[in-house]
Amino acid sequence: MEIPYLSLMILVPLVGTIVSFLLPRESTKAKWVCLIAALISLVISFIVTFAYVWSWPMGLQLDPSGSFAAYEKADWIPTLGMSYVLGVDGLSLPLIVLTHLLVALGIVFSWKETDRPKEFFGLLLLMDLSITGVFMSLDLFLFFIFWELVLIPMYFLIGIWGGPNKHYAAIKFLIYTHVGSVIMLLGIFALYFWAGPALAVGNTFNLVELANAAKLDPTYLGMAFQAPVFVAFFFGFGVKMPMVPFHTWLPDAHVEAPTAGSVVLAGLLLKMGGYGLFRLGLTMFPLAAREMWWLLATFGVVSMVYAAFVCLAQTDLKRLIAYSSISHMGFVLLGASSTLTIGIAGGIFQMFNHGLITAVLFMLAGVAKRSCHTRDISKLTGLVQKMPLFSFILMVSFFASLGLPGLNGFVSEFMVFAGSYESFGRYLIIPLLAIIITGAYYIWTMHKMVFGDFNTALGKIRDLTREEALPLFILLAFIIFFGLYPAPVIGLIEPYAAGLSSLLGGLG
Amino acid sequence: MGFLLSILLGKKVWEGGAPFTIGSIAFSLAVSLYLLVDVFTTGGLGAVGEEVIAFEWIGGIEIGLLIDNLSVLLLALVSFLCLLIAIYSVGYMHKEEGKPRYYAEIALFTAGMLGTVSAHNFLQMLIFWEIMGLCSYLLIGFWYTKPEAASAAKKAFLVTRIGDVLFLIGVIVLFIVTGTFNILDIQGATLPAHLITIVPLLLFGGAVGKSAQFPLHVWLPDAMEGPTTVSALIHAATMVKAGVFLTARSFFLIKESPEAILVVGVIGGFTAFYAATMALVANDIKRVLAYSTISQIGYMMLGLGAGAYLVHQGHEALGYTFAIFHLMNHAFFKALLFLGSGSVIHAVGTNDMRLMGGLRKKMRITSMTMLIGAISIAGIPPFSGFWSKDGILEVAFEAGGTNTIFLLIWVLGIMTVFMTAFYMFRMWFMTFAGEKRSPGEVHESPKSMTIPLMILAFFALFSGVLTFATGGGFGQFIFFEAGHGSVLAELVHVFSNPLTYLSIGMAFSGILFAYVVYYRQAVSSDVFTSSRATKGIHKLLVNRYYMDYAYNMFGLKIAWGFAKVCDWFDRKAIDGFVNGVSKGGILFSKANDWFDRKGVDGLVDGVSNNIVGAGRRLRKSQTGNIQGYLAAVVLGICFIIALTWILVTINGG
Repeated sequence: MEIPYLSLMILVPLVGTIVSFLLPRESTKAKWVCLIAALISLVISFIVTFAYVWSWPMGLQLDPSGSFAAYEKADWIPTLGMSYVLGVDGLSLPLIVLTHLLVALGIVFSWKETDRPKEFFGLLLLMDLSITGVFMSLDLFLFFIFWELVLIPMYFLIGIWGGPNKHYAAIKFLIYTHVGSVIMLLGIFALYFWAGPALAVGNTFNLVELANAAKLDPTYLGMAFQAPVFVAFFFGFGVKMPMVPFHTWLPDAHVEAPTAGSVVLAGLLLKMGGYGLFRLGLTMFPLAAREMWWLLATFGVVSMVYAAFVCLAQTDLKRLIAYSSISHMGFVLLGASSTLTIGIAGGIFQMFNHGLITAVLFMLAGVAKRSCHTRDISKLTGLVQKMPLFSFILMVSFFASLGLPGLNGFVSEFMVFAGSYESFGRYLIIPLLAIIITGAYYIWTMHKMVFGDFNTALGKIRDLTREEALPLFILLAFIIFFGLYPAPVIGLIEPYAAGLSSLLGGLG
Repeated sequence: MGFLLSILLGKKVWEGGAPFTIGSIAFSLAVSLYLLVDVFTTGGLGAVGEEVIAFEWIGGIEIGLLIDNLSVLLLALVSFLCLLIAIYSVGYMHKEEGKPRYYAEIALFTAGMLGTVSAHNFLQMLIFWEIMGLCSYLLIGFWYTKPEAASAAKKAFLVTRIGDVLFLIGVIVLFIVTGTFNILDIQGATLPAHLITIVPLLLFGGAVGKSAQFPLHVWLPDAMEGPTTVSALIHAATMVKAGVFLTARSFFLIKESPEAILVVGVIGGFTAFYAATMALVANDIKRVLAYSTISQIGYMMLGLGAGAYLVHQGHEALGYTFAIFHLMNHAFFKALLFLGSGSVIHAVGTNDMRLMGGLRKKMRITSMTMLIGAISIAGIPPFSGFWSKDGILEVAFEAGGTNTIFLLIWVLGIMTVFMTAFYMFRMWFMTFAGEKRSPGEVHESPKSMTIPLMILAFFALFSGVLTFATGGGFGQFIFFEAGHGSVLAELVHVFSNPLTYLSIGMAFSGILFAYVVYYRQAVSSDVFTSSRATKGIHKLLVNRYYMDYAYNMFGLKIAWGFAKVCDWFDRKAIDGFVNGVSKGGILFSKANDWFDRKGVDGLVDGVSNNIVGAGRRLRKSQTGNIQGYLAAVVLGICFIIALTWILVTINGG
């Protein structure tokens, strides 16, 4: 029997969202509804992943070409070339698992939310639904709908539950990323009107058909077409990632967003940019991607180094983490630019790792705010004396983020560097500068926050509560496990990365 | 394989106290000793080594052990010292809080160090290497409420990280060029000509950071803020030697490149000299030992450099042998000296040697064992330090025969012998001789502390000679070299060399000088601090050549300033531009609005009324009502679909 797992992963959160919105205003059941929906989705994503990796007979629907782990297709508006196509592979599976995981843990972390709880949890679940949709859609039109749908819950999460400057941040987030989306939409139209006919698949939004045709004729329409359209997509995704200099929406959005919002924003929303870059940018424009690797590399390295320096000057813990996210997403671009299997796999793995690590970091910032009522690093000193658990997790996650071997961040960063040595040669020292600066700002922050004298002005503060500790320790377990034994995820990603690499490498 | 188990065992001791740590290290020691005996009784594995592959980690990269003469020696040495120091800690750390943390970190460190020296590929080595660095960071900052300790930990981590990044690049380059991390496979591969110098130098960069060689030495003296046991174990006997180990492991790369050889030799020789000069004026007993450690590791690097030069010239790798020999001997006597100083600090309660003195009578065992350590490091035969240090100098001189740079380094090395003897005995006389200057009663330390001291003293005395006893000299056990044959031949070789007497003479004169100044006080030490000729030098030395100052200037002023500029740029320029654009947009729409009202509105009243009405309705819906927004989005999507459809029709039609 074939089971439409992928559609279920959209349906379950959708039902959960609707139920939670329909609940009475003061109901406290919304969190249960949403948590259960997120957990069911998580289980489904695990089933799909394991069924793919170990070829379990779980009734996955497979696509005819066999390049996807699971694939579901239905006609939608055939006259316009729009269809309902979902599919997952080594690129999207880790990110989908990550999505459900972070949303579920975000719900647990916000368990005590009392301000309009049913909307809050409902919106979180709506984020889960729309982000999963982005990662699964293989139809450009469907993809774009989900892509835009993501903005709405995020806008409200910031705008309603945010900090003092929430309206500015929410509007900035919306407009900024929307500009990126519009330019990406132009790119989608270009694919629809020109690339489709040129590749002899007709006017279609079906990404699988387009990509398979592009694989056979990677230099279709030449640079004159590929370069500008590639850049349009690159811009759209780059704003989302975000890359310097289109990043300033991120720190504001993060500082104002509620913790669960930040977790989803940094852990998942940014990954949409990276995902799109691999799924669309590199796959659909092999020639341009091959020729213009320097564009990716330059933006990647500038993001890494520049954002790291900016981190060094931050005083707000959340702003620091926000900028470090920008710096770490630069690795993804750098990995993508390498066009080697190890570099591409490293870039994808980096997205996964960064999602885990940054979720921990933002939750910690949330704990600091809840417990100490401030996120000012200069006021948070000597916390180990009052908050030992908090400090322990802070240290491990900082070390993971700065790339200490034995923790997951190191593995992906190493892979990215190994991948980019080929093209960079001795100039690899410039992106490596980012590692040193990253070490500096984390160690410096740790030095202030964990060690030294306790700031008595903070008064009586508490350590982690149960609903804070649970998600943190789960994430920490993943960070350590994948640091010591990254093979499962890399094994999942590698076939995809190898395929993409041979597509790009086959040209030169 | 049992050894891997012990690594895991070592890591699991998070909750437990001393017994667990000591037990697991003892187990490691047993396994290491078994390996040591096994390897040496089978005549040594020579340059080949034996690989034990545990399992595949990620695609094509395996976790495994490389067991050869070098690694078994270090395995045994490291686990032995870790065990002794863990036992010593029972007495030393008795009154401290946070003991579980301490022992857990020591156990993790031991695992890291054992993993480093037994790694069969560079990636694995790098991982364990960083684990050591992490433990070093945590243990330096053990007394985390002390600001100096926390700063020192931070400094140590960051400075060594610079080296680690170089190491990382080196490993990446090797991997890209040879397609493997495996050390034996890399030995079989040939590097392209343009990488032959840079790759060993990158690896050496990692060694410079870890082993605190010039110019990345600044962290080690500050690292003395940690507990003395930590200083003894990590910052004298084991971790800082990892750099020497790495250089020895990549010896086969270094010896191929004359430039790399020269860099290793010069950095080693210069560091030996440079650090010794700073040790002359330090008043903190642990800092004297820290500078001394840097200086002695400089000797080892010099030995490796000069040895590589000779190999490059077609001779035997005596330098390699003596460097590793010195590594071993130094580990014994420096651990001894540190533990001795720990015993003194334990009793007196201060690090400042000016507040000590006359402790000899009260602390007999400590003073005697430390004397043995001091003689050994000064290089007086037959104590262990003499054999290895003299060997290194001999090799440097030999290299100097064809290369003037090595001759200059040899001169520095000989001068360092004098300084070493001087500062060591200055320390000993200040601490143990003369009158008592410390307040309060002083007692000898407990047995758990003095017994390790005596064991180490035994090795400091005899480890030099022990190697003769096994026949054929130390060299036979370390690859690249065959040794001089019988014990007698070796002895004759050493003592028929006039240079031997020169270095012994230097050592004795250093001791004598210290005796005159600090024991007899025939010459006041004030002469050096106040006389015009030496005042400037003294000030320079006390301020550590202003290197720390320069780094702080760089770190705080330049990097910090640049960070501030970036932050400003981000807020004002980029964000200012963004906000400017949006302001421009608003202005533009206001202008439109004005035009709409004044221009169009006047003409088409009805239409504009409608628009205003729509605007009102729009505004009404902007009340935070989510359902309303969702409806708007659905409408918007419908609009886009309609637009697409129209476009398609136009295009297709």
